[in-house]
Amino acid sequence: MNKTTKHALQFLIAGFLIALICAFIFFFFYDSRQMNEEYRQIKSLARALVLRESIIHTLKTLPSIVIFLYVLCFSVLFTLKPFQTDDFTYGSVAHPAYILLILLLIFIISSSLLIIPRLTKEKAEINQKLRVAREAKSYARELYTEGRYTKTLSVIDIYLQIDDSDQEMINLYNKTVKFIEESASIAARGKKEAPVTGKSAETSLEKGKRAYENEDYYTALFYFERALDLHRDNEELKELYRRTKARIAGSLGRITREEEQKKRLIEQKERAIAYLKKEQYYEAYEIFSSLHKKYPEMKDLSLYLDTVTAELKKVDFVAFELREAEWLPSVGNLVFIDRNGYVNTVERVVPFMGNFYFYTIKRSKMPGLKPSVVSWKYGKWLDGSIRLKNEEGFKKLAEKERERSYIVPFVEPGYLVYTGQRDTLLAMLNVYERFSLAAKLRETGFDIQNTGHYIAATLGQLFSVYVLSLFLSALAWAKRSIYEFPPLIKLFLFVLVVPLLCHFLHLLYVDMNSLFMYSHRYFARLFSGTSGMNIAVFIGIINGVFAVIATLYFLSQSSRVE
Amino acid sequence: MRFLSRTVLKIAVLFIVLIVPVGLYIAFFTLNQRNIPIWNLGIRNLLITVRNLSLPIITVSFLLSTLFTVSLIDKMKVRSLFLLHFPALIIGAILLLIFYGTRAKEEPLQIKEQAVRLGYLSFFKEDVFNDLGKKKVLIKTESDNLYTIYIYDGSTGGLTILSKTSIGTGTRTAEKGRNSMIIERDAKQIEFFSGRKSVLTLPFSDFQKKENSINNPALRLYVQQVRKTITAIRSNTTHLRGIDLSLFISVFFLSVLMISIPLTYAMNDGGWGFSGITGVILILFLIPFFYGYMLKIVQGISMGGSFLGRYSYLFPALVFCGIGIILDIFIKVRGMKKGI
Repeated sequence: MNKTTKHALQFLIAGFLIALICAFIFFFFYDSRQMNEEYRQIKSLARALVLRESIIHTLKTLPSIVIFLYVLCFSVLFTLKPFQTDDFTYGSVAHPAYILLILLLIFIISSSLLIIPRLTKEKAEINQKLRVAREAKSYARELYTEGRYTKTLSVIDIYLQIDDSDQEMINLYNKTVKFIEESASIAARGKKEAPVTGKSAETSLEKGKRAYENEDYYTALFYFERALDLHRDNEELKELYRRTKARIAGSLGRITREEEQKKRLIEQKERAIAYLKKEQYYEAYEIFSSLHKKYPEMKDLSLYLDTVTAELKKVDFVAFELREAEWLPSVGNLVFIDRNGYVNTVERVVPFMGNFYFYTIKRSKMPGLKPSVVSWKYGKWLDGSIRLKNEEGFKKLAEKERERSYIVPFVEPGYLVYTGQRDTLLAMLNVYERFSLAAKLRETGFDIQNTGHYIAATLGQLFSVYVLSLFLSALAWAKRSIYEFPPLIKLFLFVLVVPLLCHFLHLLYVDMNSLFMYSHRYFARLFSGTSGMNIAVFIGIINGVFAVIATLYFLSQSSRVE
Repeated sequence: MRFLSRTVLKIAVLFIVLIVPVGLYIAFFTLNQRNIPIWNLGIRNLLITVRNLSLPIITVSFLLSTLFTVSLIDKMKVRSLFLLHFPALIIGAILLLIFYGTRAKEEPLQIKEQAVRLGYLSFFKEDVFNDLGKKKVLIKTESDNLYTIYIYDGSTGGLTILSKTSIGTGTRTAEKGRNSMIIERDAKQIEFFSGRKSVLTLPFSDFQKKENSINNPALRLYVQQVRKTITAIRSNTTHLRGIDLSLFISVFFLSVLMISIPLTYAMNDGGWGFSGITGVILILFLIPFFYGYMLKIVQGISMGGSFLGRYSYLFPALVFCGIGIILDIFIKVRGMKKGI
């Protein structure tokens, strides 16, 4: 590498970094000023948000920065003293500039396909956290004023998960705990045992023994029955089970006055346990919940009900869960098409901790099917579909009801919440998602380009930088400054006008590319006999021609002064 | 003479090169300003628009080609700055001749205005929710000329389904018992009817394309100023018709040339061509603002131009031509001092 080439590379890289840093600083201050005042309450998140926004903005202006850098270098910088040597040739600046342009193009394409979508997603997550924090703060204050202390604690917990340094919320938490302790409700909560889901015989046996020693025979019975499922030959367990049943038989007499009633209770419980063993949870739930309502004193029933409920929550939900989450910030007014041909409208969706809660859902069938509108109060995203319901508890659905009660969307709700925010969604999709999801998103009703159009548009962006950088550099070199240092006023006007001109020309090229994309339909009609050419190939050829012309023009320049 | 013919040739070539992109740009820009969606316009509509806008397209292309030629000209070959006006005037005269040749004969060449044809596909994409603010519209083809339209209103959360809907334009009115969507060109809106009841009205402005080269804030500001200036120029000359109007426009355009050519020449740095291009952009950007403010001053002069008799309407334009001549003299004198 000769000295001139080294200088050229230094100028280009330093120029690029300086322009990048200047753009970043400008956007950082601009975005800080633009930021909504309400989002500033959590400083660390607000800073992270501004940082991401400014990086995104800077990366989006990369094409214009690169074009401007090349015009500046070939118009002014490469005419300065370090390049005024005897061994200077045009090739010594053109070749490194060309290689660097290819590297910059790789950076631009990777930022547009991977980095910007990633940052946009992170930005959306931070935004959501800030919204939750803001909502939690005001809701916690409201609950505290109303004296609903238990709920206040759970809401503050959510806030503190996002920002654990907020002294106001920590104080509110401490005050709430004090109130609860004073009213002794916390003590009552302390007595309640956590539902048992452990399957080890030892654990259940030990818990059963403890409950038996505490004369809590119903709880003991529950644990012994669970333990017996796994260890039928354990003599000690059998004996304890027998004794517990004997103890319960006495108390059963007090609860069920008639022998017939007692017999029915035992039969029903056995049937429910059989359902539970066969993993027929809906049936088990129906029996246990009715028995629990009838005999609330029998703690084993309550524990069985908890076990069944825990299993059912994996495939179903209770309306209570959604009402509890109703205060959280939501996305409103979703409309989308699902796999069964329904047009679904959702009044609001609450995305929270990986869950998606849907409120007030209406479903209308698409043409060709029997027209009908079905309304639902609640919906929750469970295992690839949205389970809908109006009732409070769990209810097994008949096969014919399944289509009505489940929305099977083409895409996950994480994408559905961007209904009406097409541009935001598009900015979030990386290249892999664009390829794998474009068709599904389109079927959902999103106005999104197919893969061919996406590639063609990306090629337009890429070739815009390539063609404009080379063409304008060559033009700038042909009309370059011959001063040792250009006139200051003209240099000032140049720096003022040319970045805007480069940006405008880049936009013009991209729009021209869109025009070529539009003309593809005429081309396809004209050459329909040749089975039509893929739009990406068509655009690639057109841009390729421009690129060849620009490259030849760039390489044909010389160090001769006109 | 050689210099003149070479410069004329340069302007002519640049004019031919620029007329296509300038034509397309002005056509798209104007359509977007008129709230006509441009993303699915069709070549026929585009050609109609370009033809309707032929005068401004030719004018802008001519101005650009002249200024870029002057901005990149070799100053050593310019014998006189006054002479530099002539190539532009020659091309201008040729263009004017063509213009009058197609208009002022007894049997003029028919270049009459034609409206662009708009169908529902100019506004909507099929099978997807077209996002129009809080409203979303989905159009699905049901059978030949009948469609099912889903209209979702985000403000109320209501979904309206219009099945077996016919689509019409212009004068068609809603019929009882039939759903329809009517594109009302005169009212610049699209109306959806369920029977005779109007369920949604979408103004064309909802379809305006944003965030691209034809719609950015700097350009909007610029066009706004151009419009203001044109309105100010025409405010006292609304009574002008026929040859008087043409004369007025011609003299005004001449004044633009007379001011911008010396300025561009001044910005043309013999040792740095790109500064000339920078200069052209700055001059083009500043001229409407300059005209706007100067017009206020010129129009404020009472009795101005009464000595011109029936041509008194030319007074402001002639004042600008005068400013151009003064600029010529100033640059010439300054150049002589510097030895250029």
